[in-house]
Amino acid sequence: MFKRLTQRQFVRFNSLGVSKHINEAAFHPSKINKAAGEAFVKEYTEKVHHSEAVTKLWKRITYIVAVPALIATAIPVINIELKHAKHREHLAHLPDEEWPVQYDYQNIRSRNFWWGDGDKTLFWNSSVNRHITE
Amino acid sequence: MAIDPETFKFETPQFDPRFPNQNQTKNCAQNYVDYQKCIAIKGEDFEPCKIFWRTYTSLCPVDWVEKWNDQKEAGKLPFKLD
Amino acid sequence: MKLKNMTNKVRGNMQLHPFHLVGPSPWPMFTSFSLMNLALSMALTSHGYMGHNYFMFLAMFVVFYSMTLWFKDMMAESSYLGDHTMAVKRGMNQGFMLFVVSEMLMFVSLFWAYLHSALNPNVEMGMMWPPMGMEAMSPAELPLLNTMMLLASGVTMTYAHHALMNKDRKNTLYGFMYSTMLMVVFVFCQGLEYSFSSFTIADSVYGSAFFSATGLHGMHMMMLAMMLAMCTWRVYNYDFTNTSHVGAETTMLYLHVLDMMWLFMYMVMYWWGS
Repeated sequence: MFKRLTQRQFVRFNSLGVSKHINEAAFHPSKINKAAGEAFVKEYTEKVHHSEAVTKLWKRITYIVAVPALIATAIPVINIELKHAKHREHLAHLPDEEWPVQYDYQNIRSRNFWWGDGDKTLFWNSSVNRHITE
Repeated sequence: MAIDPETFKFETPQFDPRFPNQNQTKNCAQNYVDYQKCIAIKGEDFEPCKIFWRTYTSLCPVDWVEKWNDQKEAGKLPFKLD
Repeated sequence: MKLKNMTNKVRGNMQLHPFHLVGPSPWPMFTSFSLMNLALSMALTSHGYMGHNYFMFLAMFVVFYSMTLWFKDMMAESSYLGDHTMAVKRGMNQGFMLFVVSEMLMFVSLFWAYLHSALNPNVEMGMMWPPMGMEAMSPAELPLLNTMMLLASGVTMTYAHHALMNKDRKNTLYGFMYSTMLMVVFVFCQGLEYSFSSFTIADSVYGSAFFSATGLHGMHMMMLAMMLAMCTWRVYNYDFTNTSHVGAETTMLYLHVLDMMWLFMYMVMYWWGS
């Protein structure tokens, strides 16, 4: 019902039968705003034309700035991470006594987690995380 | 530290501009830490350390101090003492 | 198309306003029920009333399923039925902006939680931040690479956007593919960082605030990776035109906003907070 109301259609029929305007142009030439239409088309073509140069610029920035910057960051970071991996290897074999002190605010478990064995948090890594209970 | 009732003078700490708020929690904790640092270097009998002791015993609730002492014994005192 | 020849008879078959009145659809109801199902099963599972998590995963699957069906309908309405006029597109972009604002406020609350604990660290944690005995992540390592990847994704996104406006299919595809790959690698690196972390979400308020905030951001990044993959797929399928690509516009807005969020997070939580 509401759809009918909101999508009000042109009255084709009246009490006299078919409307006499039924075959007239829906948009009278005098009512058409030609300038607005042309401005719209102009803006559209200019946008398309303008974005060609901008695309080239950002393509260049992608390959000349972003990619080298990523590589330049990735190399030292990978080196550091490999070093850390060795350190983690060492940590994994550390006995509980040499493990750093756990303060009262660390490894808080007010009740069991509902996954796994109930003690390990998500992303638990037994070589760097340890829950020591006496 | 034993208290001698003959010589004991009842004092409260003076205003400390580092802790201008009504809430003196951090004043208490800082003086506890300073006392621990002080006696670690100078020993418990060093007179100037006692200002810290007087301040924290006056400001801190007893069970906080007890908790910290227990934590210290267990090596789990969460304060930097060096 | 010559409008001047259109008669009232023809015009009368079309609506007199530019808006899209969507037809009856089961998806709003279906999505509501699936979301309620998800909320209930998550709450019941995490409070131990279930003993298993099958219902939770089923509910998650149904939520994704209903999203897929609803979005499929929207894509049909836009690409094939032409229901998305300029007014409709404007409306959808505005709606998405409101969504982004509400997202931002969610992040603000997490920053508030973090800074509340960080600016005046309490006595129980040794009056320092990060708390005594906790080793913060180094901001110069993996997080730096993550930051670089997000900055680069901003660049590739702009590249794709302008190529799309220029009807340049090849470069649009490249731009979207690079952005998608960067997002996927970001999520992967964040996963590595989480599993190498010496502290967990259960380690003091530092761990809780840190992982809540970066975890929420990480989930958004997964979502963004999916959105970008969808955009790539739609460009590949010729779904977008140079003037009609609301899906791409909202994805771009989302990417830039979440990039900015990450920069704040990097500066505050990784750099200042360590």
